[in-house]
Amino acid sequence: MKKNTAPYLAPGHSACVGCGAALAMKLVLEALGENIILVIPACCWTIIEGANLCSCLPKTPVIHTAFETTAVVATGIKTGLEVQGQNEIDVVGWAGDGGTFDIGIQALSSAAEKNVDIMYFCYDNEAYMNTGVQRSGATPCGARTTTTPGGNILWKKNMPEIVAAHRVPYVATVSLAWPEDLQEKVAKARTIKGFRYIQICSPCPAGWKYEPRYAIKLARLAVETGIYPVYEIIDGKIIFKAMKPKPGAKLKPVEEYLKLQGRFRHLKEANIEEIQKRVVEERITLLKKAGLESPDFSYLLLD
Amino acid sequence: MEGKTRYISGNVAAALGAKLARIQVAPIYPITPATTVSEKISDLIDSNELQAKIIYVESEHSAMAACIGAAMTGVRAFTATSSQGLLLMNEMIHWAAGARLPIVMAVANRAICAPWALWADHNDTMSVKDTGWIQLYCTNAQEVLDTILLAYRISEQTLIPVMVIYEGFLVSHTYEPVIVPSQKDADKFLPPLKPKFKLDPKNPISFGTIIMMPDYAAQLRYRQNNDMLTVFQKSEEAAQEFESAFGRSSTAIVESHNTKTAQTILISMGTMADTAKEVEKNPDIGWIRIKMFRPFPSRQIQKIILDRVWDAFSLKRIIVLDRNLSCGQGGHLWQEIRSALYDVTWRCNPYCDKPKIFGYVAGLNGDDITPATIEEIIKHSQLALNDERPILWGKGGNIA
Repeated sequence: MKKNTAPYLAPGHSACVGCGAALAMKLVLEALGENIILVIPACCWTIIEGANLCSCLPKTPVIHTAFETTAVVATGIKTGLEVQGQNEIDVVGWAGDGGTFDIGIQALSSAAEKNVDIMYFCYDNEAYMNTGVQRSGATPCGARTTTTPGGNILWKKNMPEIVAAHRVPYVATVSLAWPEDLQEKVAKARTIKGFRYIQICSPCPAGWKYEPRYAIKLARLAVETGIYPVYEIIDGKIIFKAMKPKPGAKLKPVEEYLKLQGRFRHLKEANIEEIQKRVVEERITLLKKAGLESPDFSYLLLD
Repeated sequence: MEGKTRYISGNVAAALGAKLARIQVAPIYPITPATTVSEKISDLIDSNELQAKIIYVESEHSAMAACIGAAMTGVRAFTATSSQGLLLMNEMIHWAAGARLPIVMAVANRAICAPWALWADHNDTMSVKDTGWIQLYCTNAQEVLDTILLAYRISEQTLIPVMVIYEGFLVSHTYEPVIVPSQKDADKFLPPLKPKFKLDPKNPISFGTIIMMPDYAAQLRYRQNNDMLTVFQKSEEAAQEFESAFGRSSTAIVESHNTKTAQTILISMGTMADTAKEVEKNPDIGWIRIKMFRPFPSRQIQKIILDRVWDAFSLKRIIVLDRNLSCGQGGHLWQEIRSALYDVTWRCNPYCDKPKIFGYVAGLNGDDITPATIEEIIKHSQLALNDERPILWGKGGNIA
């Protein structure tokens, strides 16, 4: 067979300009390399891959499946490969936050609990974007969606820790603003056996309502403000590697992140203060779990 | 040809059929009355009699999704369910058919809730008759085992999934003598699966991508329909092969007896048909059993009904017995039979009426149907004038 010299993500995909999910796929596939099978449920990537039998993923076998079935279809494929002795192929789920946090959590929990040897990626754009921006369990507090026109009043579901509670060997969150870190984590996950979960903060211009050029800037600010912490959970232990909080380093004010996005434009000063307070609280809790509480505990707080 | 007679239940027969078919992946989820299929498969794997992997899923929806994933890699997948489980699976049942995957599923019929119901009727499988699956309704444990083997053969030739259907408890838990063929004979009948397409990193294909051209999507669905119509021929061929491999016959589509001269013909499915067979010893009563409900064998039924010694007016009435009810419309089999016989040329004496087609609904939620019940129904039909409405049968007769 001829060597497939095509790129992992070919030109002609149908993502929006400034879409985080398209870039995320490119980075992840490059890090995974060949010999994988991709499972895509209902999500933006159903459309992005290309309609009418044209795929923008020329190197990767793909199966499209129903919304809630990513983890279990991947399990079925993995088992089918195992009975044929093809153990070296990695089966990779690729779902949005709706398909992961909400409708897909039952099958995801089942696969995680049994430590099925698959990789699960959630590209988290924080709402049902493919259906036109409706609230999901991943939607952050304050964000306006078409079903929360006054702003979402609930805090985002803590999916990485929920998955980690299944005692899986590897969980990570990653940011598109640190592509080397992202690819390192993907490559590391590839070497681990068992259920691996990686959640990608994936800015969405249509849903977050930002200028396309700010996609990476927002991905960076989400981490720097502490809103979207980037860490690993290896065998239950929370570990910060890239973007490790250093003594003396301060989180950026959340306002810097919020003000660039139309979905937060309606927030009043008091709302932003509340969000700021909660982000700091969540940050302290997370760093405590990571064993980073002392002696420089104060550095976590804003001036 | 070798085989051993064993005393087993319908569910065990289904599991042994799956074992003889050398299934490779079995996602399982318990539900009464199908549970013992999964238990038997677990035993067979545990004792190394079956080289397959079980997937412990958390729902029937996931059981079918896992079957789809496994089948996409080119292996034989199998699962079993009932009632609410079948309903929960609904989305993936459609998906398996649309994806053209040769999956076989055993379904032990059970009534649908609410209220909570345990016993057999056909409402669960009738609710999925339009999903693009082949539906085969069995009458006893022997037929369940045989039909699993037939099902894989037909399914893999047509790329259409098959439901092997039998009534809960009445078949699933009733122990009967069953001839279990040898693995050697089964292997001769069912060669290893060689899929044309599968998920393979060496040959990357995207399956199930979105189609924005409506005419192309329609063409795919029409092709699915046309392939469904080839199932009759493939099933007859499979039944012939079955006979030469195992030295005994197994019904492929329909069975009939004494229909050429009888004044009354009884048409039914499942265990009710076996009971009706008792009554058919009366020379005035003909008997038809429908095994294949999808695709529906209209042509075959027309042929049986019209193939008479005297002209059609000697056929006074057709009685369709349904163990299911589509509220507001009557039994599903009755509707299909009326539709199948609507445009036949009844070669009648012009002074006589064409035969009436009565639709009797009986046996819902396991309500017992005995030969006496069927005799009563026949008697009732001899006095009945109106065949336009379904007759809802219960204790003491028509209770509508």
